[in-house]
Amino acid sequence: MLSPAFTSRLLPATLVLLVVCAIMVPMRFLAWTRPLGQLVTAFAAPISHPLAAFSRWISPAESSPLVSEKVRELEARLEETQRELRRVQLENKGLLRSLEELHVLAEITAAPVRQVAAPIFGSSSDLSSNVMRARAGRQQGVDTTSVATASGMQLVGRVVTVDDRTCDVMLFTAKGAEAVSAMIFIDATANGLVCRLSPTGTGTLKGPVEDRRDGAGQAVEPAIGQVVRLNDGRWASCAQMLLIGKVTAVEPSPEGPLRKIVTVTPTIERLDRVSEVIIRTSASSNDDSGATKEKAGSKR
Amino acid sequence: MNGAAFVIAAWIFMGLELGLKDALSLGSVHVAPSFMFCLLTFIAMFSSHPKPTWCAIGLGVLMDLTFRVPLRDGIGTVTLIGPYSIAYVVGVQLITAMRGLVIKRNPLTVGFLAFTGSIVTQVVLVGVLSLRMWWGDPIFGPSNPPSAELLARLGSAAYTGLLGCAISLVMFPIAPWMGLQVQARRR
Repeated sequence: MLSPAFTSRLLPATLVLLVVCAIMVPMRFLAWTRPLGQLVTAFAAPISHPLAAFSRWISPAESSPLVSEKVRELEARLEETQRELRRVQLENKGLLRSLEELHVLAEITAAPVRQVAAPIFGSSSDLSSNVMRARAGRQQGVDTTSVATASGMQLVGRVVTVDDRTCDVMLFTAKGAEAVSAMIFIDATANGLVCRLSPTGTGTLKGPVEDRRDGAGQAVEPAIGQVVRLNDGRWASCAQMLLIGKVTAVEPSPEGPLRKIVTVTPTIERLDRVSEVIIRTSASSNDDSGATKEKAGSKR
Repeated sequence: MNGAAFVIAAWIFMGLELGLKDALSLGSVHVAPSFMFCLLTFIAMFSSHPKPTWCAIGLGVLMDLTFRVPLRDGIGTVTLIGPYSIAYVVGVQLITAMRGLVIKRNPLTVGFLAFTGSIVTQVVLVGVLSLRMWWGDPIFGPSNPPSAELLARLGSAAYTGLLGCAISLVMFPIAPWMGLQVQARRR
């Protein structure tokens, strides 16, 4: 047992140390805190996971409990097929446009995808993080290029941190998240309108759409209900053409009357309430990292 | 105060914080109550100096380690040691200063002290993060400025006060097992 005199001497020193750590130590010197955080999360998981599962059962992501499991499964398969169709259409379009880019596109679109189902077992202690914690990590092949989807290939977010057994998924609709490039599918072909969507902070995304004219000089405009998919080179190949949502509002841009601004809403009401996500990783990304490790090992 | 009981309570409240907090959040502005601060308020009300301060440091460090501070433009997160710890210590100082002025054995008192202490805590927390931002860390962005963050956190403080009232109904009966002096001493 520590004596009161010792603890009273230790207290000011501890406080000074905390102030220095909190304010003065640069972020690059704080990498050692993350493993400690993982440890605390692991200790709290036996309580947080049942509570998170219970709360998601009480307040689920979607408010449509009448739809049967079979219908959901069929809808998911339909969405997967549609996504595959779009991907192939986009691939064909790209191949036709430029044969010189053939090898690049083949790498982008033909890479196999590894999928891991990961239950959500908690969130950050401070909700401003917009982070959900999923039970899949490096041991399951997850890395920082992975993305998380929910049922129906709905994009949920990207993996920002990976531990051995867990990972942090940042919602793509979170207020501080970066803007994404997407494509609005105006018909059954890959002839979509490119748009740049920024999170509004209310679970939707909003942004300008490209101004395009058809052969007769008429403006090609987006319409409410059209499907919007991710088409952003900064995201991993396994994330391309994943569902972002549907157009729920179209309004003229204040910057120019010919341009439109769309509001896109995810197909799942509350993405932060999903109880399980599918972590998608391009199989090549892990192979590459494995090859890099092997190279490093041979150098040693 | 019983150290083992405190550790078990901290473990349970940490689980509540990580597992249940998001379920209680209001809308998309992340107004949510803090279970940990309710526990801290209770300890600060019924234990002698310097135990509340040490408990604030302990619970604050746990919060810091599980708080993924979001970086600008969603480029990732960082774990900082200190912001919550310092904020909790300052919040606890307010509670210990005010506890002599209130009727302790009343759920509303717990709620009121949790609310006022939480306000101070959130102000200090945003202040610490703002200091880091001014020194060049990419913590707050144009989409979530410190003022908006503070506003949402003040809402969370009010919510924490409400939760404090509710939790005190459970905490009062189990306080003797934690070694907290809830009953007034008779002469």
